[in-house]
Order: sequence, then C-alpha cells, then structure tokens
Amino acid sequence: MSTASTPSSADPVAAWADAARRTLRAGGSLRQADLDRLLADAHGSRCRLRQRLLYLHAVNPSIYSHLVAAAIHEPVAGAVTEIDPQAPEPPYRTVHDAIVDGWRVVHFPQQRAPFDDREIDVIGHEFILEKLEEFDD
Amino acid sequence: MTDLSKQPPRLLSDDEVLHFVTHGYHLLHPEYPAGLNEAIAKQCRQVDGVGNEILDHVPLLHEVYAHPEVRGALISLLGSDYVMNGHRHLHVNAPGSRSQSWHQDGTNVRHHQVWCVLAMYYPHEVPLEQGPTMIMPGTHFRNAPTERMATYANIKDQVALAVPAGTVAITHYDLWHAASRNLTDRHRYMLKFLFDRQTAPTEPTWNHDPETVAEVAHRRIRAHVGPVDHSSDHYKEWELRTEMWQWMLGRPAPVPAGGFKDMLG
Repeated sequence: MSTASTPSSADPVAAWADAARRTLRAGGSLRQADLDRLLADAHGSRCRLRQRLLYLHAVNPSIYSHLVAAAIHEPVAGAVTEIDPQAPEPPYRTVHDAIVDGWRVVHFPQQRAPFDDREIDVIGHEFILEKLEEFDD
Repeated sequence: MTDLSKQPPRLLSDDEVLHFVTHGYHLLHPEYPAGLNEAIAKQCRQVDGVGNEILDHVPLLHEVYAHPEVRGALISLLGSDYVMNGHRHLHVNAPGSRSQSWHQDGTNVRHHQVWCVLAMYYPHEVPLEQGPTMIMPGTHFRNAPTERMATYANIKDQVALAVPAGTVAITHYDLWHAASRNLTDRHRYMLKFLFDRQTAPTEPTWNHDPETVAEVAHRRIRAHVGPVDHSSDHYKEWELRTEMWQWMLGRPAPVPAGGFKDMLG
C-alpha cells in the first residue's frame, strides 16, 4: 500500500482503512511501513481528541422532557463557562435532541434520589453529556 | 428641597405583595432629588474596602432608603417596625470580571416566611453589558446548598437586573442570585443593604383590599414562575406560596403536602 495514496480525512485511521481496502481489493499487500503509519495516525488522533462537556438540566429525568438550564465546557485552556445576561435559550429543546446531534450521555439523574413531598431544592434533573472532538492548541 | 423622609410611605398593593411572594423580588424606581444618584455614584468611586462603614462614608445613602417608596415597600413586606441590618456592602463589579456562580446568601436554615430582604440600590444605569445582578424568580422557596448550584450557568427565565439609575431591587433573602460578567470599561456599583423584620405579622401592613384580594391571590398563587412547567415542583410551589401568603396576612396556616388539590379551582 502506498501511503501517498491515502486520502486526507478528518479521521486519519478511517482514511488509512479505506486505502488498505482498496489496496487489498486490487491484489496488493500491506507492508510494515503501512502498519507503522496506522499506529502513528491512531496515536496522533487520540492525542488531539478532547472531551467537550455539556451539562443539561431537564424538567424531569426523561430524555424527552424540556430543558431548563444548560452549561457547556470546552476543553481549551482558559475556557470560561458563565452566566450570560443576554438570556440565551438552551442549545437544545431536550436531551434527546442533543443525542441526535452527536452528544453521548455520561451521567444520568438518579431516579431513586431522595425527595421531599413538600420542599423543593435544585432546579431540574442533571444530565452530563460529552462529545470527543479534535482540538488544535 | 423636599424632605422625602417626612412624606408618608407608599405602601404596596395586594397584587404587588403577592408578586413578591411568588417571584421573590420587587423592583422600585423612586424619583430621587436631582443629582442624588450621580452624587452617590461619585462617592462610591472614592471609597475602598469600607465594609459595613459604607453608610458613614456615603451618608447620602440615608436618602435612598428613606424614600417613601422604599420605606413603603419595606413596611409592606417586613412590618412597620422593620430595622436596617448592621451588615451592608458596596459591591463593585470591575471591568473584565467573570460571573459568579448562582448562590443563596447565608446557610441553609430556610423557611417560607419573610424575615429579611436585600435592598440592592444601583446609583447608575446598568446595561446588560455592565455586569448586572442576575436573579432567578421563584427560587426563594428552594432550599439548595450553594455547592449544588455550581454546575448551572444559564437558567431559563433568569432575570438580569439591567436597570435605570436609582433602581432599588428588593429580594427575599433566599432568592438565587449572582453577579454577571462586566464587558464594559466601567465599574458597576451596587449597594446591598439588609433589612430585618422584628415581629411576626398579625395583620396586613400594606394596602390590603379584602374585597378583591381573593381573586388576586387565586390568580397569583397558581401562576407559572420559572421554567418548571407542570412538574411536582410547580404544585409544591402553590402550597409554599399559600403558606407564605397566609403568614404575611397574620393568619399562619400550615398547608399539608398535597394541599394543592384544594387550589385547583
């Protein structure tokens, strides 16, 4: 497989696999250098991937209930998450809408959390979502 | 010059007191003598780190809190023998600041009564860009340690106190609030004074109208405040609002859990 034939792609490992398939379909073979390139691409990709976090508070623990609060945290040094007095709407209508947009839920509200039949405390039920994306410093 | 402290207080109406009960705040826009706000703002720029002594350094503040509208609101909410608390503070929000986290003042010894209010006075106009105080309507009923609010940023229906010069924002002591970021090159000044009730209510101390109050209370107590929709929190709020309102009327009557069913109407 010729590394020069590898197409550019946002995912270098997927691009390497595409090139390898074409090489094998054409009757070619993989060489030691191709595997070295794969390892280098995979390692480099992992290093650039960072975790974006999205805290969403929904009116109840259903992923289809509407959102009452949101906070996004970017994996960049010095990134600021704070109250915006311009009162922006939450970025999604529901947690499900965020999932459809590629966010993965990493924390769900506890259905059996303590509750009180009379008193109220925090607003909404907290979901934490992540997206792994490449970031350049 | 007219001595505002000699004028009769302008008491709140049933509807205004009920709005305070449900939302946890009331905004006043008193007409002060010409130049008072500007003079106080100028003095605020000249003091630094005076803490509770701010009243000695900026004595014009006495005129702010003696205004008939301010006195009237405080009498309405705290009774005619209310007192100014010894704690007060000049809050300076400097250019380039970041927002605070949402918080309730003090610790979590909460109740659903009105024993203390904050009276936040803004001597100059505060536009959205200049670090307005943020408040979250209805949260004075929520007993939430500040640490549990640390993951919130923007909450639906939050209110920015972007206000004209001279505004006095009276908030229940337990209302969630936070300073926001100041994007301008100007300092934002806010004087926070606390006022305390000394005795539990025995009768309404505002402009109470027994003829119309039932309809007003029915509408206010069942209104949606904040983003919680028809959740159980909403119906619990009906009960907590009713309990606070009855207490304010001088007829304290605990509302048991599930009491909202009698308010469905």
